[in-house]
Amino acid sequence: MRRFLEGLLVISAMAVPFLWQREGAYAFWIWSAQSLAYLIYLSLWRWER
Amino acid sequence: MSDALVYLLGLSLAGTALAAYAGRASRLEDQEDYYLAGRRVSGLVAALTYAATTYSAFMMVGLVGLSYQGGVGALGFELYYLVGTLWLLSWAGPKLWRKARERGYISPGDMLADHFGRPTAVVGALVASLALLPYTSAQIIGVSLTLEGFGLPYAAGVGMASLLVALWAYMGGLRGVAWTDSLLGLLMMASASLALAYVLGLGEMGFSASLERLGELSRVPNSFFSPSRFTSLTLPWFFFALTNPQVVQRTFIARDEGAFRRMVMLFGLFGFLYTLAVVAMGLKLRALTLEGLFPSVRSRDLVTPTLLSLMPRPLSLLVSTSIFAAALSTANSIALTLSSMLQRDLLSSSGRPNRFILLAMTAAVAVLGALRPSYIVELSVMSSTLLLPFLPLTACALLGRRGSPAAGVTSLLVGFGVGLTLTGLKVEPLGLPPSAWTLMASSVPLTWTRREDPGAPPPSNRERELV
Repeated sequence: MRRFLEGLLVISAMAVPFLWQREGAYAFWIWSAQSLAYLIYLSLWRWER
Repeated sequence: MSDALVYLLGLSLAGTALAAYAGRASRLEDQEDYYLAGRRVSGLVAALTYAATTYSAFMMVGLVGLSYQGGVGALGFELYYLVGTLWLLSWAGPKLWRKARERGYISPGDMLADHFGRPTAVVGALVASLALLPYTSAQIIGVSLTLEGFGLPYAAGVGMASLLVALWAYMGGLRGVAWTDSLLGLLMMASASLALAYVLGLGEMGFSASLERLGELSRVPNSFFSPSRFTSLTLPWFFFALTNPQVVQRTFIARDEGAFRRMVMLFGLFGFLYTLAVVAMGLKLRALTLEGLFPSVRSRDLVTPTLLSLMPRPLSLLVSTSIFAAALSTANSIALTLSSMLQRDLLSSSGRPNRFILLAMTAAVAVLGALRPSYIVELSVMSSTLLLPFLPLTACALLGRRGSPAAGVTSLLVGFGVGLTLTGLKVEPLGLPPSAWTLMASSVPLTWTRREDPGAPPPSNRERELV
């Protein structure tokens, strides 16, 4: 369940470029940074039984 | 012999040698060995086959064009897919892997049969075939059209691609497919990196400065990516990991828990880098068009062919070969998974692998590819929506719920019917995309499911045959 909620949090955070719209490199880098951060976070997860 | 043919023959020979070697290491009389490589695949190979199966020729052709035409929203769409897949794999993947091992699932339909009865698996095999055969043909068509630009006749392209799809899976089963996928996946990543380096080297501006030039295309929503279009594109792909049988089956193959975890993480790394490279290429090309350094391309499907025509010949051939590789790796994985579903679920056969089904299916793909009926591309675009009815059933199975065969069959048929009708007619009742209606329609019949008995023993092979 924790893994489920963490994912929901990340997916919600990815809506930021929709809610706070700015032109330029902002949306590209924020989405890249969020995805990379999630990937790094998951690399630390422990196997759930 | 043309230089394009040299590249293609080199790839074909290397793949065939790998598949032949895999065939020698396999017991081709055993379904578990043929369809799942004996559940003994390492994390690295599992990750590469997962990535090469998932990322088709759409990436290098379609996504470059989508980024060029629609701007940064294409990155959001593709990264939502990636994060969604990582989320589902990290949350539901371990459950799937363990359940498949404990209960002896070989095809994704085995899980449906276990929870909703054999009729659900039979209908599931038919729905998956109807949704994925046009998609597989579209891969072959797309890649043959690209190769036509290099002087290879269209029919020869279809023949060569179909032959390799059948040959590699026939010779080595899933082990052959996974090993060749690893080779093809590495080729895809290497050529995308080189192509990106070439594109970034064009013009004076750096990448971030190029994004500043894009104006409204550098934000979302914009005139192309409306909230409705973004949602209707993203929703079906977001659940790809649980709706597409060829990737669901790949969660069964890791040799242990550590290998499964490595598969998820390495796939995530591959997907992240590959997505960034492909989208960055499309965005940079659009900025170059604004600077007058790249032709203005009206149809998004022509962006990559235009780029290929301007690149140095060796790089252009390498990228074309990687597009061929991406199409092959997706097509042969789908063909093998559908074979396992047709044999186990439709024909209820648990004997030795029936490789004739694989050949028949590839022949059907080749014929569709050669004839190119107009509805093929339309149907292939619908595939992700048409597979959405598998999501509620898989979710129920993961949550330990069982239902009647009537509920399972109704869920699949109603969802498939709603998806096909709304997508075909291009209508969005109440402003909701067809994918949302498909999901809702296929969920309703599953309202009355019951919790499974945790102490129930896994079904024996004899029980499977009787059911």
